[in-house]
Amino acid sequence: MDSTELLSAISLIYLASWFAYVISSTTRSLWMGRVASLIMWAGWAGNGAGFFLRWMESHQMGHGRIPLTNQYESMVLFAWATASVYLLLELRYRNRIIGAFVAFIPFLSLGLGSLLFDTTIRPLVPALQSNWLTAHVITCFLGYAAFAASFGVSLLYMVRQRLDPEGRMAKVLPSEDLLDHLNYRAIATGFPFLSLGIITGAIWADVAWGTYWSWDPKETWSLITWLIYAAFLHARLSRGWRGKRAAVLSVIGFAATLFTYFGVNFLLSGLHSYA
Amino acid sequence: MHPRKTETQSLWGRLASLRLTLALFLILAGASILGTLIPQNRPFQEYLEMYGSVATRIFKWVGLTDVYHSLWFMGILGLLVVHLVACSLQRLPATWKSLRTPQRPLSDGLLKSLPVVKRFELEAGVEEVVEALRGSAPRFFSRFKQEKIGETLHLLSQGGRWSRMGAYVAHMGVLGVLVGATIGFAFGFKGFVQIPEGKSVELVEERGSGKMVPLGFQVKCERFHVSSYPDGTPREYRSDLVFMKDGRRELEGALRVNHPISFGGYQFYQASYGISARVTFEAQKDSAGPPLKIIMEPGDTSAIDPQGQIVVRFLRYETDLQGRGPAVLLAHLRQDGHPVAGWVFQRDGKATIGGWSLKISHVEEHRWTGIQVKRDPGVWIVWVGCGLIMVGCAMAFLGVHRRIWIKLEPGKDGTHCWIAASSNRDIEGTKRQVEMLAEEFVKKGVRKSRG
Repeated sequence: MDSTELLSAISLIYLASWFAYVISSTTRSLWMGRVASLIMWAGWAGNGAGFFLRWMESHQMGHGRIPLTNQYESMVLFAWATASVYLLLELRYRNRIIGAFVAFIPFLSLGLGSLLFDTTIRPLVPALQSNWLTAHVITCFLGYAAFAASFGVSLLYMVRQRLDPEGRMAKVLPSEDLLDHLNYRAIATGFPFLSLGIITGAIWADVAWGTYWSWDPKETWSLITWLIYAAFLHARLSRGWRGKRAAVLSVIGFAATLFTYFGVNFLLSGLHSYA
Repeated sequence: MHPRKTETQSLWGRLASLRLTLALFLILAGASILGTLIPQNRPFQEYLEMYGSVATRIFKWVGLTDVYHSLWFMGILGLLVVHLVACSLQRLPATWKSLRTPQRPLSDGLLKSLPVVKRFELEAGVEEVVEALRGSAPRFFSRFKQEKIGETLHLLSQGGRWSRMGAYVAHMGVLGVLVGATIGFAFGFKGFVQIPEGKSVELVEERGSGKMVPLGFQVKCERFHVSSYPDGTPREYRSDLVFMKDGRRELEGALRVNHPISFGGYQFYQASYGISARVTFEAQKDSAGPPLKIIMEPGDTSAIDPQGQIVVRFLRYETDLQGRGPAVLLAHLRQDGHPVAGWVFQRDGKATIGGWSLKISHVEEHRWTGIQVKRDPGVWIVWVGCGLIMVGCAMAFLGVHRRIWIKLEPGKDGTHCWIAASSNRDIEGTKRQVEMLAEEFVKKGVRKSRG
């Protein structure tokens, strides 16, 4: 089995874990919740194995390089990073209901990546032959993954708000305060990573092209995303924006993240044509 | 007070308001979006075709065809700088003062203002509780300062004060990036030069203005190499360069993508490459007499008749156009004054211009390397600024300024106990810490009833 086949299979495992999270949170079955976590961990391990297998395969082909260089590979990484961030949240806050709102993201990322994009392992073009590649891509995607988690948490917050506070569901869900806090924590984690991703990208651009900032669409959209989350942090820390307003800003921020990640590549043209 | 002073104060206050922060973020984001939706810095003709003449004229006038260098965009960035300075100057003294003020014992007034307060009763006396805690967790206990007011014992602790400075550090960093970028914009140089293999240059074309700027030394490209992987993906672009001053070879180096070379205050970057040619044409009228030989390179203009009346311009060279071999794009003025351009192929191609027939008799190809040249005196300030942003973020997001107050007041048969806390962020974590602390007290001091 090669890494591409393994990773396609893993996307189905993520799907299974999402189903299990949804079932466990609607039926309040602890047993089902444990199964969901177990499947998620299996998916996470398989996702990582696929990543390293692909790395090894590239070495066997004689032009070894870390698999972070095209749309497909970035989606494998995005799935893995989102699963990692989610599992950390679950370990720390001992709550599986968030899984129902986050676990579909690694499934979609890995599934769509395998279906829609070229999975061939190609060697590195000269522009990508740089040590900054690893630092830039990994920091960006840790940021994206944290924003994905904040998006899932904000969705859950909005759902919770619409529920009858005395109802059965509302009692199982994490409190509004905790969700609001998690939203903030995820963004406060993602923001420094996005900043680091933009800075490492600027350093790399300066080394490769002699300009650290050229208002390329990808750069510009990463700045727009950065501005939205900066607005979130300022509004919250200095003005106490919480709850619904924070959740809405977080959803807008994630929409900008997705546009930076996908929209720019397919709708706008620029220098950043790898992924 | 003079009305004038209050006016400036309110302007100053407005310049430092959070509303302005959010407005600036929104405007910058909006302008940036516009700049990615409307293609930037394209030829006028392209805008006319896309948007029509009215919209194009409006776009040009507002500066939407070059948003990021327009006056209004720079104005917003300037306002951001003023805003950052105003915010720091206005808030720093208060933050500094509050960091320097020692923590006061818990008073009734303070108790009301604190976000986390827990009150409970213990059966043990004050001394017993303190001894038990000191015995079981000496390191934790040593973080608290003790203060006795009458019979009541106050335990005070605070940590992570430095995290309050994180925001100021990060904002200094943003300021550094903007200042560094401005210095680069005002005093830096960006240019591009094509060097044919085996040739040297000392003039570089400035980007934007098109001015030819002397470097003060010569750069020679001895060879240009391209290598590929077996599947055809390019592997390496490399120019073997020699930097010469007053005829002396000062530096030799291989210029590759991601491996710039510095010389004489400039940085050089491998940017592109191409193939050009020295083409020999033969011009003849009515197949009579010996043909006239003309040698041209791309960009050259030359007459093809002895009288110098028929002038052609060599626009472009293609090494293999449409699979039909080498071809040259030539332009000339028709008799009615209209310019016309057309491809002439070396293989069985002939152009007829003004009664003269023109054909390519010889092609001598050479490769050229395209090199980006820059000088940026502000770039190090940008990197220092980026470093400060990251250090500031780490301070602000990893550290928590947290203060804990414990008040132990002797009661009739036991101790009245308060634990209160405040923090600049992470109230959830602080709450949890207070809960844990209270549990520890109850374990050691035996809880009687909830207050």
